[in-house]
Amino acid sequence: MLFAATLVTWAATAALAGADLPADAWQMTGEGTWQIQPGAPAVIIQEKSGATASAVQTLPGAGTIVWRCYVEPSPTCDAAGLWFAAAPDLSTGYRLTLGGNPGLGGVQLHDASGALCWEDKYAPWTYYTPYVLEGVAEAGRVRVQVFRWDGTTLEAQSDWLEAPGSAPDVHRACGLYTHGIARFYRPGAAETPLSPIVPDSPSKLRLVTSDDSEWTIIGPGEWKWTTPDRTVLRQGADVHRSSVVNASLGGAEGTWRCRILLEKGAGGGGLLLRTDPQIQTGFNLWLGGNFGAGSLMLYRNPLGQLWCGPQNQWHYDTEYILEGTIKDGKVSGKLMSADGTLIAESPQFDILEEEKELTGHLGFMTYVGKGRFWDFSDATRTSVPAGAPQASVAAALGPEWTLTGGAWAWANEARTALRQEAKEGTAAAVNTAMTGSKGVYGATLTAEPGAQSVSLLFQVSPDMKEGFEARLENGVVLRTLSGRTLYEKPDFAWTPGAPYVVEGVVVTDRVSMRILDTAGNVLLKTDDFYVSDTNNTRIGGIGFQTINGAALVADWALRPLE
Amino acid sequence: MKHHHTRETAPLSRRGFIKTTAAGASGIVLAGAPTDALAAGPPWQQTSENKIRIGIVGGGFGLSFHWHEHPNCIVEAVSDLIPERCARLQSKYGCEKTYESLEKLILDPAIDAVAVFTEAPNHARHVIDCMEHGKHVISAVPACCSLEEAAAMKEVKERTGLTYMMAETSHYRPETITARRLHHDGLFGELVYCEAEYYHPGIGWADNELSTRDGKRTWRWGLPPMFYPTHSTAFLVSVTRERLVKVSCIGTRKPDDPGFQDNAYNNPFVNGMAMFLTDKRHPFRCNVCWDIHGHGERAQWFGTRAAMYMPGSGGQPFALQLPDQALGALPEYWHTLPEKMRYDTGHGGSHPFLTNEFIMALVEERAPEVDLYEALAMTVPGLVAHASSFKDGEQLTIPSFDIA
Repeated sequence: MLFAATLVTWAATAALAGADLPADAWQMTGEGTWQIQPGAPAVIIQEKSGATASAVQTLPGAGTIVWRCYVEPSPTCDAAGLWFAAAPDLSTGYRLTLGGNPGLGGVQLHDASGALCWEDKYAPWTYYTPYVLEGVAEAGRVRVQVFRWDGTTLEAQSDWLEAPGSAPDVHRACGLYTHGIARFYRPGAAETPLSPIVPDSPSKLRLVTSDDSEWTIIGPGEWKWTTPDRTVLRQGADVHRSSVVNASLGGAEGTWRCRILLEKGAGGGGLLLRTDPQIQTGFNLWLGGNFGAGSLMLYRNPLGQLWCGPQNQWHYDTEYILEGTIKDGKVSGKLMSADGTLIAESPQFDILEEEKELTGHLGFMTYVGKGRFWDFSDATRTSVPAGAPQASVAAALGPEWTLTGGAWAWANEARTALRQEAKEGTAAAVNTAMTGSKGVYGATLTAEPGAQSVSLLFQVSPDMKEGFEARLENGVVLRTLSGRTLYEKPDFAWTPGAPYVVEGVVVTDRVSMRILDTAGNVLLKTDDFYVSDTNNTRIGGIGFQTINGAALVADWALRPLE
Repeated sequence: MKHHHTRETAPLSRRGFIKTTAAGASGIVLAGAPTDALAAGPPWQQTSENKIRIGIVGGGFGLSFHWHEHPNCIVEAVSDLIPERCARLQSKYGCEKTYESLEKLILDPAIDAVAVFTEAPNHARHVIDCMEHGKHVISAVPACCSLEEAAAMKEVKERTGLTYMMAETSHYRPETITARRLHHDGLFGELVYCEAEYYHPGIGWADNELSTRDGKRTWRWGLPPMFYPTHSTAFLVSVTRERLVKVSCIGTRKPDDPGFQDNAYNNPFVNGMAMFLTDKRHPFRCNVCWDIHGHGERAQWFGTRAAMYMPGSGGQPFALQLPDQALGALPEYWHTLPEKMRYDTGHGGSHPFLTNEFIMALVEERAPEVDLYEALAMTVPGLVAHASSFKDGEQLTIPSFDIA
């Protein structure tokens, strides 16, 4: 049932190309309670919890093919979006909504009869966050897309869909739709969509898990390919436990292998061997234990631990190889670095009598966070390069060091000095054992002549995404590792080949840096700079970085605040 | 100037405030009741070319704001009693003028508003000085340190009609904004109980770096925890706008610390654990502690239909528990700010939100979200809680400083 409402106007703004809908009569249907919050732009609110409601108006003129609106669902909203290319009574037309996958997201396109025309089931969105929804209609076909609030970052996109009933010159009504509390602003029409159809849209990268797919997702999670060539699979949602199983890879005996990278914050991740779509059988070769500094583990599914190796064997944002073998009635697993160097290896465990006749599939699992998997194989494929070295530089320095690039080695027998000898590229070494939050992080840095820069990294995470950098380059720079420059003094003169004591100071809410000569004279002391208060309790380590040159670092220490 | 909370709603239909459907259909109610501001919504866009000329006083915490990055703000002058800190302010905000004191800065007729980031016990005096000289004011927390100061601030604000805002950071933590929206949308059901805490070990201790400067005691030496309650009380007051009407507070002591034996406040307490009663008969547990193994500002909200938990220093994650699902994702609200200001300079990323709200309140000639009445509703309950702790938790009545 439709009800006429009076004219409502709001300020047209130019944040997005195209025109906001002209003032017109909204007609409302359903159970909703609609309000307008004046402003620029005005916010249209359907504020009745659990209500299914639409508000519709008809565009004047002809020729417009694009309808769009900001849509912001509340946490309990099951679906919210827009009608487009519709008849005023909604007997024809299309409904593009956020929703369809409770707790995770989803984008769906329905026709007026309620039939599902298209969905991106795993498109993520967050409640109380605005998204731009856009419907595009031509005679006989429609397509839809969803953007972040900036109107440029694509979140989901369909291809053209056959729509025999679509006649945008005739059916020119558009509207707002919600099942639950939702907010809408800047409903509008335009001649040109915000994006053409692109080959690498997020919807194309998401893992397809329809009934005819080889992939099965178990539990919540956002599994998708990182590139259109579909070689690297990523679970990108902060969910408790998420798994995926590939029914086309597997067998009874053999070697299962994949490359794995767990992202900052993840609690663990692993390779499922010879498992089933419910993950009740088979084994799980697992990177677990301490978050970001844990162990290789071997489980019998579901969640029966067989073995746990030493901690501090894997770290965030670092590529590893997992290799599990089922052969001759035994199961075992290995963890290797990206170049094939063995890091940890489980003993061989007997397979139970009732397991011996089973076959199964390959799969992956994440725990409390995000991870990437690629180069996965069944017994017929290999990905470890021939002739891989058997001992890495990291192993030579010790397990407490995380190294990225360069050629690092001890510079003295007492192991109080490190030398980075590569002349090109960026090299970093982070000590994950000397950690703290507030305090004075210091070291003596000597950049060899020709080096572009040498830096002290302080309160730094092993993945070097969090923390701070005090850099001797052209002058000095203090910056966050997220890229914000806190201080720079280009005219600070320092001499290549001379040692400097560089200190980073972390106090409550603020950081600063000092540079001293080796006699203890303060050459530079910055002000305190306010930074995120998450650093008040965040645990980080100490590290060093060089760019395009060699350097010596020595006498690193973390002291309490003075 | 419009008073108190500007983003009112209007019914979608203006023809009739109440409409119902025909028989057999569900009712459509088009009601026009105003609702509170949400501090969130569409992406920010500039709607005015007006500029607020601000003076900034206090080169400590005053360095952490974003005045120079706001399109509607010009930093006209800065001031600090310590020349070195004054120079830092000038360098950060890029202004030409400096003054050696607040008292001289407020004589500058070019200045519309003053940001007061001075010592807490001086806030009320400085705010009143600014208003008496025709300046709008934003101050750091707390708004005041006595009931007499609260009354004086209210008197001068109402007499002058000028704008006051308290820069309470907890109001703009993303969890608080989310809680405010959940409450507005009725998704908590009845919000029956809240627990809030501010833990900052070391404050007030004699050997703490903030307790002395150049060998002299600072205002933090022996500071009563409940004189600094707003980081905690805001977690409820700014969400529901309830008023705290009664309090029982237990204080714990630190007798081995000179900071709590001899101080300007005659204060022996290093921790305060208060149980408040609100004007809606809801309990509210609120801790402010300087000597406890924990750190940070957090809350958890319990409604009849939902609960929300802030992350904690013990590693607890954010969680929003709804009737049929639990959500671990917390929305971000950076899009509601001018583009240059979308980065975190502390206190849960709240500083740019505070900057934006004060400037936009002045540009739009409306009351800011944490106006004087809200500020005193967050501050005064702590002062009474402190008194209660001297009486072993006797329940005391909290006076109101709202509009009569």
